[in-house]
Amino acid sequence: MPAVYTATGQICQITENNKISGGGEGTVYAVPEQPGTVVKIYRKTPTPETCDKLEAMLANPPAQSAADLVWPTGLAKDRYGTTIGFFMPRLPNGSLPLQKLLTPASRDLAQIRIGLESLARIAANLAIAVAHVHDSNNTSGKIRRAVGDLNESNIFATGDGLVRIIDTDSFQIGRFRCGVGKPDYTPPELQGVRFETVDRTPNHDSFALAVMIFRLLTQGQHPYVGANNPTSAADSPEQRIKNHQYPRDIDAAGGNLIISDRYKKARRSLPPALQSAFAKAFNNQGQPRPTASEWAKLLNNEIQKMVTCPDGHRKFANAVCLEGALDLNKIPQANKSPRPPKQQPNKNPAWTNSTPHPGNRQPPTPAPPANNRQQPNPTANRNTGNTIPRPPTPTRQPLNSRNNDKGVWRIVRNAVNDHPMHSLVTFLSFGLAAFMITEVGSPTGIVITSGIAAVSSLSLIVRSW
Amino acid sequence: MTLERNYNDETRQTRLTEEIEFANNPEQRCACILLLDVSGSMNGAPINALNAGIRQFYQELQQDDLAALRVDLAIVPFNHEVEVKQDFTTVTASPQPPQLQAGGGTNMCQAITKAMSMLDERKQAYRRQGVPYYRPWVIFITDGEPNDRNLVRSTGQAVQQAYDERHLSFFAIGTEDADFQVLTQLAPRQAPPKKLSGIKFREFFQWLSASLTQVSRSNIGQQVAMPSTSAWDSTQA
Repeated sequence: MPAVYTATGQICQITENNKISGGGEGTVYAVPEQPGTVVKIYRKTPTPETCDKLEAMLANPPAQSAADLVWPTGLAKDRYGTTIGFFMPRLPNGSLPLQKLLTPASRDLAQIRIGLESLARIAANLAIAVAHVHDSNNTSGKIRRAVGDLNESNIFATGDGLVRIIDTDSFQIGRFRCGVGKPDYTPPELQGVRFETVDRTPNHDSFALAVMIFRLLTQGQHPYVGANNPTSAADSPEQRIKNHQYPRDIDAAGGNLIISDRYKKARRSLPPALQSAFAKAFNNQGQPRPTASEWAKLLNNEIQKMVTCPDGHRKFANAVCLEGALDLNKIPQANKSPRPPKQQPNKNPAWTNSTPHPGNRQPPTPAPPANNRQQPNPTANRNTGNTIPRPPTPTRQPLNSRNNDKGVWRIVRNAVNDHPMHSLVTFLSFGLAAFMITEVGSPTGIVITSGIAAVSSLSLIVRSW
Repeated sequence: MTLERNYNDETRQTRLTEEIEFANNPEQRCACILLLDVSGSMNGAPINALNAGIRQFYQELQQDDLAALRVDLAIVPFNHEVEVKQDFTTVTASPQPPQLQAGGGTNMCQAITKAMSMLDERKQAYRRQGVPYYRPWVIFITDGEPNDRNLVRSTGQAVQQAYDERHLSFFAIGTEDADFQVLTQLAPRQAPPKKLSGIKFREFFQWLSASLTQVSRSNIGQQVAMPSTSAWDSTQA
């Protein structure tokens, strides 16, 4: 571990014990002298190109309020004054990469719970963060920027829904290119293209952002994995992106392709305004995609209109509840991989105020160590910029008949499905009533048996409530 | 009529369970079958070492965010019978490994045939659900010689064909007493059997979890460099 100096020549006492994480490109260490700061030291001495890029980033920081971008704050030098890395703000306590939040299974693994409203809030804040990257692009004299490699492992969120993008040194900064990218977030026009050979644009980012938002809102499903050929292996997401295979109409029969029910449910859980925004983002005519700030506006609007479904989940207005459809406990006597007994300790304290998951998932033990690229800082509580903190978790609300017009029928249907004994009792009572009326003709019989029928029907509804 | 209705109900329910399984975890999958010889000769220290190896294998997979969600594991011990001790699932959905006991004969060809049909079924589920998948792995471990010797030739041909058509990767592992002549016939020509030194199941499963972790991080169809097998492999010795 060589001695590390700041650009102004102050020495930082960094040892291997300060190591937070190591990636392919460099290692991140805590800086003991500055608790809110970490330093990334490159594995190999950075090229003049990399140094120039860092200088350009320091000269062109995002707006003051954009705390959602983990931007370099200064160069790190060795004793000869050679640049060996850079300083940047430390992530706040409880930060998790989106990779751990995306699917019910990944949340089980990380032992956290989070409801759709919080996920939608994270999506909206992510759109705001990406808009902060792009905001300089229309201002004359400012340097053009794009994220380039937007994916689930370099976006971090905290329990209050605030988002931070790390690895900003890989951004497209003016003429300095972004040489990396994940194929399942890469737009069709860049599929198969070597990233070092192209300038990344905000419109490329808009594709990756739309994929990320879709995944955040649909329990982690990729927008392109809907239509399958049942007789051959499913194509990878990147192949489907390349072939423009976003299923525009999930109800259209498309030759030998079928659309899986889980994907149909995911699509139906999105309100019409978001559906059409996704259709624009995944268009195959090369049209401009919805921008990051358009997504932010759209998502904030839809979050405000969210309602509570009869099962107590938050869901979008004018859309089905996906969380309810994914609850394993709803299947009577599931004959495969039964869920372990119910109890859900939320081991991750920063995430305890997330919306409780009514599915009662049991996490595996022991808790896997968090291998974040940066380790959360217990003391840092930085200016959060103009992203919007998640409002307090809403409690269960009364059934809203306007937004849940099929609510009562759904309850009755569920009750009959869930409690076959009830329907049997109801059936027998009606049968007895009919028998008495036709065979006995007794008015008392009619009254008594109708009473039984009414009570059992009522109990059927009440118990299932 | 009743029978037909029950059948349809069951199919419907199985499909619904399947749908929810992949909705909860839409990650691409790498199916892996552990086809384990638990015949009488494995009794004592070997079966204990095998169980310990599997427990450690689970822990290592659980430590890795991607492998824990992408490795779709089935455990199929066999002796004179083939038992699906655990059908395909991830170590996230089913965190406890099954405990294996030794006893009985060694019908290894039947076991391999069963594994191949399980893989076909699982791949159909992936296709129905639109889940992309890596080439599945069959890990075949034995310490003896087959009772169903008459099936060795045809089983070996079926494995070779599946391997050539890239339907599976086949790893045949024999302990030092295993019949390597038979194992060589069963395994694909391109992937000859490996010899496990002593009862180094622990080292073997360490290698397996490292390999599967590498695969889980790769893109589908991409070549993956495997870690060294030297910690448990005495084939060269």
